[in-house]
Amino acid sequence: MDDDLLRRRARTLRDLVEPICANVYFAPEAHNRYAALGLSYAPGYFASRGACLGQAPGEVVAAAFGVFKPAAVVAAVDEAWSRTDAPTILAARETGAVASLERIFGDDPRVEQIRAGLDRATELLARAAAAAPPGEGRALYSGLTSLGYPGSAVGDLWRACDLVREHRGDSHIIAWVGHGLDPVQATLTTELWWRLPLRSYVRTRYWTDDEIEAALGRLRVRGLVEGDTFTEAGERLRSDIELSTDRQERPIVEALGDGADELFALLTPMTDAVLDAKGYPADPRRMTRP
Amino acid sequence: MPVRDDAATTPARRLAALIEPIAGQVYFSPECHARYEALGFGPSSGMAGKVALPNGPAYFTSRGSLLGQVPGEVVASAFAVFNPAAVVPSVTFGWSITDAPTICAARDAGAIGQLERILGQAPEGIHHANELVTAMTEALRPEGRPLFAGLSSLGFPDSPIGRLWRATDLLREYRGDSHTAAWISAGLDAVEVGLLSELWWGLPLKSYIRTRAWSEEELDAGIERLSARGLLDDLGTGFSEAGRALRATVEDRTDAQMARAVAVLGDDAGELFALLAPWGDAVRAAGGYLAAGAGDLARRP
Repeated sequence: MDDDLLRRRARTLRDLVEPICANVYFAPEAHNRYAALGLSYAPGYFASRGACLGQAPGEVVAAAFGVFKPAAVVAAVDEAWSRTDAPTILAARETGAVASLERIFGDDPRVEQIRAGLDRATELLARAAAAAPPGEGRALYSGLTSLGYPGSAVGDLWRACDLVREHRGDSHIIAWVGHGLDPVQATLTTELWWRLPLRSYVRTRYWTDDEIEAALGRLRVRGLVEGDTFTEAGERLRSDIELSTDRQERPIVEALGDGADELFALLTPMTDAVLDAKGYPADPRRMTRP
Repeated sequence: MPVRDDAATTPARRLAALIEPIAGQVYFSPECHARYEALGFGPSSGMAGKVALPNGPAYFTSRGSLLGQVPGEVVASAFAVFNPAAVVPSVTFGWSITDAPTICAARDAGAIGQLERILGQAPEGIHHANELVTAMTEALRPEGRPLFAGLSSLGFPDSPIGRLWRATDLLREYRGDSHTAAWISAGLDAVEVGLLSELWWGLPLKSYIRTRAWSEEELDAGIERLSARGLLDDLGTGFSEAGRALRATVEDRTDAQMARAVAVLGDDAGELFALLAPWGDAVRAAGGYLAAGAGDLARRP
């Protein structure tokens, strides 16, 4: 498969699975379960997503998540592990995610179409996810593979989407680390890549104004940013990082093969349902570059 | 496993080569092997000259315990170059007989034990060396670097040798994690980078990489992929120009990630290197680490 088709399919796949699997981070059904374990938002988020790694210290969760300020991650995970453990919060995450998607799909006018496509979409996604080599630098993907599938139609779809998503996320971290960016620089270039206002999204990763300005300064010194916009070299570097990420998804995309368009058609009403229900904050199809 | 320091061409590579015997001795330490046996693991898997080689499950579980109580799949992701089919059952077995804090403590005690046996409790210059290596570790960042991150969660042992051990292990794992990001982002997989590394070190193909538990079929398929990409010569036994350049890029990108640590060291580099070199030589002379590095393992039948 040439790089052009690979890139288009890899990015379409990412755009469609993202709202479905990441709905768990915006689901009252999940947040309520974490609250019942005594966890506020940050400990709930970091521990629930990090628990597929096992009972790992916050430093390791920070390494795997990549872009968040480590001190914030460590504090949140320490607090979470003082109140619960990995198997307990993993179960809360899974039941919360499934309950939320069941509600969203059930309330959606496309419910019959969605339900009719669940098993086939899961089959295609799971086959693709399993084609990626295990291990090999991808912590969250590898942790998820250790969990197996939940065993319900919506649960299995959710896990398959999450496997594909975390594989790409792990690959992306490898790409920007390998290309010599630090997490603040990487996130600032994400803002420019997505054409978001500079210094907006990066704040959700717990970095301070001083840390953000210092990283911007380093990007300017390296000739990647001028003022508040990409230089040509900066845009090229970011494009290389995206392409390096896409290429790491080759085993998954190639395993989809001719099933890619069928899968995208099956996922589209599910993704639309999540977005229409405000179960995910923005449509990735409108943010990312083709 | 870097080349000997006499072949290192950048400060970052020289640093890696000099800390290698001091940190990497943990995998050949009789003091470690005895502690792991006491936990229920098998003995050392054999000798390479006077160096006691690690027991597989004990190796994966002890080094993996830096990540916490994590499944074998996560250990395989962090170790990156090993066949997960070998890593996962080893770690599953490990967790059936011990837990992360217990084997992690055994690892520290055995590593410090061997270093103190060979170097003494406070070799001359260790306090200054510790200041320098500690300052370097403080400049490093955990993102995308799970083994370094896990190690940094442990804090420093409070003896002079303990601090030297932890700091050098932090630097070693940081470079290893950085290397993983470098080869994957350069478009290589675990088998492919292992094969190219053999050529980089001047070893024949399919020699050292066998220690990473890949099958003959997996290695041959990897060689075919490298040939198809034009990374091997016409005979398929050495680098093509493009292959050497790609492998050099991987090493350069790894060095670039060490820049913060090297910058902190600054003008003190010569002083630190002069302190570390005889300690590493002493560890090698005592059989605490492979005399020639990777080549010693490659030559084993």
